[in-house]
Formats: sequence, structure tokens, C-alpha cells
Amino acid sequence: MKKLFVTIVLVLVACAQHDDILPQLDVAEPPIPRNFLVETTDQITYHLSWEIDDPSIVKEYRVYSQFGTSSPVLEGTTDTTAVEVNTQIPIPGVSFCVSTVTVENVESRLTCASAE
Amino acid sequence: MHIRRESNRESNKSNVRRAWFRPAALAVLLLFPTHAFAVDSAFVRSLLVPGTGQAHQGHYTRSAVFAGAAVLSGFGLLLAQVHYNEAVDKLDEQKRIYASYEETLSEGGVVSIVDLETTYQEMQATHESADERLVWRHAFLIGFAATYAANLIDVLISKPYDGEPDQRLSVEMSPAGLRVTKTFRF
Repeated sequence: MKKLFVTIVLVLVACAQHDDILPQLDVAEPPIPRNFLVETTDQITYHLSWEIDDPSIVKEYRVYSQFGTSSPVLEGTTDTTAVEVNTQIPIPGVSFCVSTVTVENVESRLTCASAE
Repeated sequence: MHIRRESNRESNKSNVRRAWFRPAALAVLLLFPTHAFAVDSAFVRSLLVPGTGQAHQGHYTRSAVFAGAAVLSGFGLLLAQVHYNEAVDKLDEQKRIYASYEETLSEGGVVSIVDLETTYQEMQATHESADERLVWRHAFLIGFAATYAANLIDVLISKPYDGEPDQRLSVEMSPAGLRVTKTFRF
């Protein structure tokens, strides 16, 4: 009888099915900053600038720093398309990334560049 | 008066029919389950473990075929179920993460479009994978159920092996020629 019971349980479990996936969130694709420039004269102060196609849906910009292959670290947010970043000490191989955050709070992909 | 007599005759015939039909129906109702569902019957043995009823009847080849088919389809069903459960667990986890993104957005938090798109694509891929695994699971389930049903039907309709030797090879002479017949019993 145990085997019959196991068989019945197996068949009943096998009848269960998975649900459908969740509907995709209705959010606008955030504009990606372009012409991102990183300029420095003393290896300590960096001047970052970029352009954006549709600034009307952008709430803020996020600026990141990145060292080597590590993950980008958030340095701060700004409302403008140009900022200055002071690293206090010269950091060889540092690069910067910028992204947009829309009014729906969706962040775009990062655009990265290093000092020229 | 004549009509009444005919009517009585018909009534008597009907009573005679009822007289033998009722005990016969009762006997069938009582004897069939007693025979089929007796604890030591071949049917109950096959109900518990496919193939054992056939072995009880002396049909060892069929017993091996049904038992092997049941083990293979049952093992396949078990594996398909495990794989399917893995896909469903993964899908549930991705759905939970995607729902948490929606909750974060509704609470004013920031979510990366990369995370949104990646999780949604992974969720779609996992859902398709779960669909494919569900097809395999159904296939094994149908195979297992068919094996089980065939095993029960076979044990119900077949008679116990009487032990008489088979007429496996026969030769027939005819004006057209000689006919050799080979009979397989399983």
C-alpha cells in the first residue's frame, strides 16, 4: 500500500504547474549620456562633461569613479551636465562613469571614460 | 378472460426472468470484486507493483516488460519532476526579484534599467525552460500512467499460465507447398 500511496502522491505532485511571468514594468528607457569627456591638468582635479538628448525626463545624473576592474563607486549626483571631481591625491588609471536617472527613478546604463 | 390469461402468462415469464436475473447480477457484483480485489490476487499485486501480477500468473516475460517499463517511466518522471521543480524555483526567485524592483520604484528608490532588463530576460528564459521541462514531465507522466493502465488491463484479461507446452513450431502440408509456422508466446 505504501508504494501505491507514493505513486498517487507522485502523480498528484506531477499535476501542479507553474504560473506565468510577471508583466514587464511600463517604464521609459532612460537616455544615455553621450560625448562624455574627462579632462584633467594636474591628475587630481577632473572636469567631467556630457550631453543628453532628452533632458526633460531626466531627474538627475549619477557620477561614478572606477579603479581598474573594480565595480564603479558612486561619487555623487548632479542636476547639470558638467561637474568637477577632486580625488585629493593622484590616482593612476582612474576612470569615471555617468548615468541618468529619469523622473520614474530608472537609472540608465553607465557611460565610462578616462582622462585624456 | 383470454386477454387476462395472456397477461398472466407474460407476467409469469417476467417473474421467471427476474428470478434468475437478480441472483446472477448479485453473484457477478459479489464475485467479480472478490476475485479481482482479493488481497492475494494478481490484480492487487499489479496494482501495488506493476508486473508482479503477471509474475503471479506465470507470465514472467510480460512481468519483466511491465516492471521495466514502469521503472523506466517512473524514474524518468522523477527526474523530469526534479528538473521541473528546479526551473520553477528559479522562476519564483526571479519573479520575487522583479517584484522587489517594482516595489522599490513605487517607494521612490532608484533601479537600474540594466537590472530590470536582465532580470526580465532571465525570467522569460527560465519560463521557457520550465515550459520545456513541463512537456517532458507530461510525457513521462503519460508513459507511466499508460504503463500502469496497460499492466492492470493485461492482468485482468489474461489467464494464469497453465504450464502446458506451447505449440511453438508447426508444419502444414498443402497443394501450394509447405508452410512452417513459428509461434512466440510472451
